[in-house]
Amino acid sequence: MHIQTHTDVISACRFCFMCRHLDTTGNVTFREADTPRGRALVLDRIRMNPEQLANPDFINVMYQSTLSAACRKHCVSHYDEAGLVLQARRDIVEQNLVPEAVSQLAQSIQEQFDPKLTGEGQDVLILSTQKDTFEHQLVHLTDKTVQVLQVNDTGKIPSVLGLTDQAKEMAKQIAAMIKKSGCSTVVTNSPAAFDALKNDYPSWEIDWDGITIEHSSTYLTKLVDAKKVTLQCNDEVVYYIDSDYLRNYNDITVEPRQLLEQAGYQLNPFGTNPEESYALGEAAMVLDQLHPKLVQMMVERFKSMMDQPLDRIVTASPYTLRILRGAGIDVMSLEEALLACSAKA
Amino acid sequence: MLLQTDNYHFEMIHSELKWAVGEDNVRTDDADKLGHSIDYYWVPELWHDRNCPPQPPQIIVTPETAQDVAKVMKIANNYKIPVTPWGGGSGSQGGALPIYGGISLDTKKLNKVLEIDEKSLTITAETGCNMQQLEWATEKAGYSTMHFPASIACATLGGFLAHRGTGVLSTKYGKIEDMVMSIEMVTPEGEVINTLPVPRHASGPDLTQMFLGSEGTLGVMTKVTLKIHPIPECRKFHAFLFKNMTSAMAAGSELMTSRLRPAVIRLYDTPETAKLIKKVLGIDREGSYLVFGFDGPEEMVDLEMARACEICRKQNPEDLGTEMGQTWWDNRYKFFYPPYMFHMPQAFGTLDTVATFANIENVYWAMKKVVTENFPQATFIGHFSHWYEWGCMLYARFIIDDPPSDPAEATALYNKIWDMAIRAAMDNGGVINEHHGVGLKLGRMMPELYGNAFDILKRIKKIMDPNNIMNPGKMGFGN
Ligand SMILES: Cc1cc2nc3c(=O)[nH]c(=O)nc-3n(C[C@H](O)[C@H](O)[C@H](O)COP(=O)(O)OP(=O)(O)OC[C@H]3O[C@@H](n4cnc5c(N)ncnc54)[C@H](O)[C@@H]3O)c2cc1C
Ligand code: SF4
Repeated sequence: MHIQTHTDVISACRFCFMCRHLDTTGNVTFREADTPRGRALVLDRIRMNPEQLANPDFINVMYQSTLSAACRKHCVSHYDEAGLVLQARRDIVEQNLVPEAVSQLAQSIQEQFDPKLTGEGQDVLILSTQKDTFEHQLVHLTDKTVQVLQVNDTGKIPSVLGLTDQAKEMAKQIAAMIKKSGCSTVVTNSPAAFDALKNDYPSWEIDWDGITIEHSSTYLTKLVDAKKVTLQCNDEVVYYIDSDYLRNYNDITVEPRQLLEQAGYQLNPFGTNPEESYALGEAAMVLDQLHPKLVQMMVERFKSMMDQPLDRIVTASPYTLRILRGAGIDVMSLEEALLACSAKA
Repeated sequence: MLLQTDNYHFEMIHSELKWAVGEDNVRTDDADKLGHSIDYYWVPELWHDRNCPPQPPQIIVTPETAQDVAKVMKIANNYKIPVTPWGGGSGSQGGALPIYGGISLDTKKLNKVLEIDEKSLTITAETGCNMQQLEWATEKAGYSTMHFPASIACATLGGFLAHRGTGVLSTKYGKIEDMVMSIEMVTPEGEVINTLPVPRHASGPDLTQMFLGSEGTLGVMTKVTLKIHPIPECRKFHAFLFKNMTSAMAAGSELMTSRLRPAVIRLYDTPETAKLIKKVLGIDREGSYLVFGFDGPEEMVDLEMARACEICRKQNPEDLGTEMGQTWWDNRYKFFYPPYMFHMPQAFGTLDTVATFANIENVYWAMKKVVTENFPQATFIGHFSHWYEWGCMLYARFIIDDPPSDPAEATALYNKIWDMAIRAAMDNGGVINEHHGVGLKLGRMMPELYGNAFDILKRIKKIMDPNNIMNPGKMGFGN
């Protein structure tokens, strides 16, 4: 079983309560099962009695996790509680126990997978997973011609659902197109796509051969530092919401805030603490489709953490942005906030 | 009544509960039930580790209001079903384990912060609040509860009330029972009652204090008003390494009897200094580590610090300075995370007790003697954590690296150590426990501790809970 690769995590977490206050699912369901301890106990039972993997209650717990990794980040020894859940999902898939809704989602991702490369230029390739104006703004700012790779998903969705083979296949095709493009840097404003290319692909033995993978926030920081772009003054108060993939998977917390401050925004801390994930299930990619009620509960918690109902939110996560907009909350993407007030130097 | 789940009567009760508190608040799924079958007591952990079948509740109910709790109590009383309150499950005494099955009443949805009274400096909140979340909310408003237990992240406010819990700064700010103004409680028969609004009065006996520490045997606490404090201007620490525990104890007790007001004093015996302090702080020298801290306005802190250092220096300790004190504070919770914390296959238990300064060292030596002489396979370590004007708390631990693999044998050995060590404490002026409570683990010793006064406690229990539905099998009240 794949969970056997994480027995150290099972042993550490099964009797440990120390990060339960940060479990994004547990904080809205209040279930013991929805904590790293609860999941480790379940998986420990399964480790000892593999037939129990078929228990639908156990399967449900694994797919309810947001994978936010807020607990892993908090943990003194950073035990990979999120990675453990991913391994459990792989086991569920391999034993043909995957819930119907999960298979359907994965299938529709596969059907819509049709990566398209457009534009020209040798330097920068923009990887875009949704229709947005980021690439046009960047081109406008830097006077650079860029190639754009438009794709519905980088393989991240099947990967987090436990369908690693499907994910690897998608990764292979995307990586081949990127390499063929001749670019030296891939920039994406999707934290999930960034994490996929930066961390998942190499773990699937995809070698980038010197191509740099950048999230737009670090890329823009470099442009600003090199004085190629100036961020103009803006004195609005905003609340920046961390992306799980940026903060908890890639330790990118400073650059987005610095950029917003350089653009003149006054940053207020959101909620009561800097550790909780407010990304509403971003790292589970499709939580809103699999568990809409759960995401709704997270939105309610989010609202209860706002200082005022009209607070302006900025987020680097397109997923979080979509959910918040759907809930009628005033929110801008990081790029919207920055590029709206930037100019060529 | 013991509930069987495979019959229509169960389904009738199940649906009655759903009508009372809502579909989403009544759960029977296996994953959640497994979580509710193991708290922080070593024995259920052992049981799980040895792949023995779990002992879960049949139903988990998550009330959202005190009225919901009252409805559950009425239904449970009607059918005489056991109800065991469950907060964070972080209790180390097995108090939240539903050993007779029935309903596990999980309080975590009672999680509203209701009011911060900035004039009186109090906060009113529901008892299912996670303590860390509550502290964060209090800090956002510019104050602090000053309740900083090592389990701040995992335990609920109600759990601390139920066990008379304590935090790192208790020496100045008190244990939870010193912080409480008043409580709301749902009685076992489903009545919602409130205790008096202030903790100091001459209006009869103190019901608040009677319910604190009742560990879910007298009802469910649903709301509490606590004192809060301004964030202190500064907090400073200093650490010393004494030649031995006795000289460190002399310094610690003089610090208290001279009526200085440290926020914290912690004194580690030589084995724990060698084991834990070395592991976490990297101090690798023989001796007894003592750290203390003061907080408040800087001039006052500096003055008290200087006086406290003077007292310590009388014993000629090695001065570790402020940095080793601050490092201890910064790492104060680190001890409790894996892999720093003791863990399976080790068997371990926290034999905490409290006694006067006149008795506390005798308690320490008596417990140590009993453990090391009767159980040569056990290591005994200890520190003194929570200090009063008259004495202090001993946080002793025994650790067995390789307990029997047979769960029954391991449980028997574990129980025996507890029995002998706690009796040694009681014989020397100690009590069963200082802040972790009694629960399932130590209930059998309650009649011994209280003598004939235990009968009064039993009668109170009988009057309040005539059907004995509340947390049966705990606190020595029987089933
Ligand atoms: C790593 C770690 C460190 C710890 N450090 C400390 C520490 O520094 N200080 C300290 O005091 N304790 C400490 N503890 C022990 C534990 O956190 C406390 O005993 C805490 O009070 C338990 O709270 P809980 O919400 O987890 O309660 P649970 O374990 O769920 O329940 C404990 C008891 O209280 C009852 N109960 C719970 N809620 C209510 C309610 N609302 N009304 C009536 N009865 C109720 C239950 O039935 C049970 O008998 C630690 C535990 C761990 C795991
Ligand atoms: S991730 Fe770390 S803190 Fe959380 S349960 Fe596991 S060991 Fe404990």
